[in-house]
Amino acid sequence: MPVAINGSGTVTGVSVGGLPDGIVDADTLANSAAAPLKRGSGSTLQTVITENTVGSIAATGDTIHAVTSLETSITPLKANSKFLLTLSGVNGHCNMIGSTGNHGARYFFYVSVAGGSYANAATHSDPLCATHIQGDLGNWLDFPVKYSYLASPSYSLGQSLTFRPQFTKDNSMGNSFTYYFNHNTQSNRAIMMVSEVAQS
Amino acid sequence: MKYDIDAIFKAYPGIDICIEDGVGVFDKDHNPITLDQAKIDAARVELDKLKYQTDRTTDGEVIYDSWRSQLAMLYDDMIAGKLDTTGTWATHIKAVKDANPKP
Repeated sequence: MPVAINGSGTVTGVSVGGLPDGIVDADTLANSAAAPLKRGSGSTLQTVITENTVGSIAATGDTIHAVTSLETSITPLKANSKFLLTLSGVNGHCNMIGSTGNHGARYFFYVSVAGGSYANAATHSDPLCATHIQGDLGNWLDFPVKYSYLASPSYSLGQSLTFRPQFTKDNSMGNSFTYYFNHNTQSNRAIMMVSEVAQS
Repeated sequence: MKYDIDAIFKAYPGIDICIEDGVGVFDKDHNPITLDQAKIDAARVELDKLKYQTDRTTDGEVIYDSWRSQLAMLYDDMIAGKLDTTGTWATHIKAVKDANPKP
């Protein structure tokens, strides 16, 4: 097709890649013209944040318990994206006064696709973060908990993904002891952040 | 809603539960649990009976000094000839007990 400059102000007939390399500079692009769908591999397409003064969250047994108040949903803009998950602002807790328990906890990310059951968002079963105290120190300690993971869940475009933290007991602790996801001594605000990262 | 975590754990021993302030209490399958407040109140009474012990050692505003410091008090009292209720050690112990009385 021949290139034509039309009286309407449009140019037609230019094929893909038909312009010289580097001909479009930053000033030529309109602000916000590089919409998420136009961004390439490695680009952040969108970010969703849930923040909460979560209060105390504690548990017993060897279940990997859910943290409902930090559930964060995102509907992917592109297929095959990965999701950078970051949790911060959590006040972990260990307490072995008289060896009575609260030795520590292990932390994970779980994901639900399109409202289905939750599964570990990682490709392995190892915790993404852990707290631990060994021996009776005569008092308890709180530790800052912050961890990240680049998740690759399987989904179809249009489906919503919901991510959330989960936690369970310290590896070396008996099931009858209690453990904390967050110890509410500081009225701290926990933040769960999910960013979609394009892969194409 | 803030939960009395220690009392709930004491009232429901031997089962997997998760307590989220402001959200709810859940079993191992994340199903909500209906709590029996009478059981929790009874557990709180039992816990409070033991609370004076940790108040005297770690949690209270007036707590026992370290055993090393207490031995030093006893030695000083011995040298000063005051191994009685007026001595440093006896005064210290009485202050802690008075501040955190046994229920």
